[in-house]
Amino acid sequence: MMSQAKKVLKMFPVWQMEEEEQWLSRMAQQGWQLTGCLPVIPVYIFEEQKSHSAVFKIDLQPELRKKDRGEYKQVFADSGWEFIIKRGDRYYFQGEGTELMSQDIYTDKPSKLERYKKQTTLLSMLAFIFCLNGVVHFLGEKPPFNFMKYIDGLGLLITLYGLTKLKLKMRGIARQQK
Amino acid sequence: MAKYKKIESFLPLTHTTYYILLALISPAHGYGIMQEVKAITHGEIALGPGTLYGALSKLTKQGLITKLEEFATNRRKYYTLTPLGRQVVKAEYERIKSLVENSSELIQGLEGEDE
Repeated sequence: MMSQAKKVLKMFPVWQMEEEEQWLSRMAQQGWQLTGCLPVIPVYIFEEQKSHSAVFKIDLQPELRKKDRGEYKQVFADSGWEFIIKRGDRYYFQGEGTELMSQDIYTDKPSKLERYKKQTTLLSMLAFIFCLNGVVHFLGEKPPFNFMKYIDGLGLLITLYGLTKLKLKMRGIARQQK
Repeated sequence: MAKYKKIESFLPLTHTTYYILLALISPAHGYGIMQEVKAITHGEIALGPGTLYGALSKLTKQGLITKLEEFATNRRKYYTLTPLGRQVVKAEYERIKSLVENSSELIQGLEGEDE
């Protein structure tokens, strides 16, 4: 019997990676295993499997070169993390078993902070683009496009919200013991 | 090769970096490094793959370690210390050692007070 597959459209902004990881775990528990995704649009592909408990980890690697990918995945595999999919700069890994449940892929404070710094850099660039566009649209107002500055404003507001969220997460990590 | 940089500019090292450099005194691949660090620290430090891979690419970029392409067994790549890496790990050891030596007498006095 062919197992059933379903596609789910769901968007997680970059500052909600933990929420995305937890959502994928819940899906596995409900019997839906992540097996793929569609390019560009945020659509996840799941296949029906026996309900199982699994942990998911998403790693952001904007600078990983193609020739280094094999080695990168091997380092994760050696720790028990199976590579599932790549979506843009994000690599999705899955772990099973009680030992992995309590473990993280980042185990010291500097590298945990580094992880959030990468996301902060991405968001800052986006905020900068919205700012720049806002100025351009504000100065060069022509009838069909004069609403554009509001879109820029909204975009800037959302990215600033995300940056604040990341900042708070980083502060939380900085205060941790280890 | 990275531009010439003063050895001291790399210090102090993080715990993780120090142990990874120690594990690379003789060539090892990612999995070997994880096991070696676990052994050196008596099980105290289990390196996560994100932390380990991040450290390997950063240390390579800094010129403290180098990838040994000729030893590659399938997807596992071997690394080892560069001459600069050797100097840095030695300098860090000396730094910590002098910290401990300079303070040991005073700390012993402190311990007596706590009793």
